[in-house]
Amino acid sequence: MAKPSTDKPAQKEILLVFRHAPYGSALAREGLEAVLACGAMGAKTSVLYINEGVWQLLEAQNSAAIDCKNQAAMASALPLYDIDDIWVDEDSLRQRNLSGADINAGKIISRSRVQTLLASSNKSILSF
Amino acid sequence: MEKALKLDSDGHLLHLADWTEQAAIQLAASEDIELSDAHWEIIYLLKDFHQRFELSPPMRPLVKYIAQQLGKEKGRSIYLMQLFPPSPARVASKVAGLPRPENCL
Amino acid sequence: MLLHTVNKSAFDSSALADCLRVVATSDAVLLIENGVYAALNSPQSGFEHSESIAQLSADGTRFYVLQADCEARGLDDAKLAAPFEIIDDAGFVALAAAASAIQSWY
Repeated sequence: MAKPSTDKPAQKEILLVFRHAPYGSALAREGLEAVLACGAMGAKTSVLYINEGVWQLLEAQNSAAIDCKNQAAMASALPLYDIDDIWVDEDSLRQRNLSGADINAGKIISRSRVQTLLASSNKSILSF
Repeated sequence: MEKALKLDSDGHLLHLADWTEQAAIQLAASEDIELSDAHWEIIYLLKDFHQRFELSPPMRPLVKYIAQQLGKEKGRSIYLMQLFPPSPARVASKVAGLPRPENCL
Repeated sequence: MLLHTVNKSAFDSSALADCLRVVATSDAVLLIENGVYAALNSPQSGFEHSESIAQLSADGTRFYVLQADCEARGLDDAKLAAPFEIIDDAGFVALAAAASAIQSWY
């Protein structure tokens, strides 16, 4: 795990939970802005895509067709913002007839690992 | 003669499509910067970043991206600070015609 | 002919189910915005509405998805379920003009 921090007390980790489709409401966009801000400020940040949120990971989004910013393009910058822990709920993919081949990022995890992720202590959860 | 550029309240170009190298020279002059090859390299990399990710990067991601693309020597805040003082992410994005980076400290 | 538009995802809204319950065989159903995700699912995927869509389609109801909304969301044309035909904005206008009324499910 990370080496002990010498300059400040243990920093809370932040988990962003993306539960909504990329377009049609502002939630996904707001969540992305939030996660990029967390990353830019150096907070230890991870992301969980679950329920409708998994639609955000579909490749080949061409949002110019509906005059929106391309959220798949924005999300692909996450590693540059030092956000490398990107998790995807397996059940949510399966319910939507999606598989690992359809998504452009993230590690697919089972429901029990999602529960562990949500339950682990010393973490703030922001849900979008 | 210099053409008047359409700017927002932060002095950034209102429309990315208005960007030209001449506009970059004007925008840099407004920050007291004279552009060299080293500047242009970063400017075009920033434009490439914006096209790929539809974002104006703040400092940390910018440094990381430059390190990936141009190597560790240039992917350092001190190098960018020399080129685009006093706030490299803001100043460089301005010269590249991009909106002001959000979450820019 | 009535044109039904559905703009919510079938996975977090009853809009599609509500529509399918009352749609007539002479009607047309157009999925727009987040409604288009339903077209990605086939009977093989265990999607709960596949059967009623297939049955309605066999009986004459026409099913469409709006191209711009599919494209924006990265839906692959080749993966859309069989009853769905892709139409562009002009096709939408033509459908609306041909319809006696439009019922929006949202």
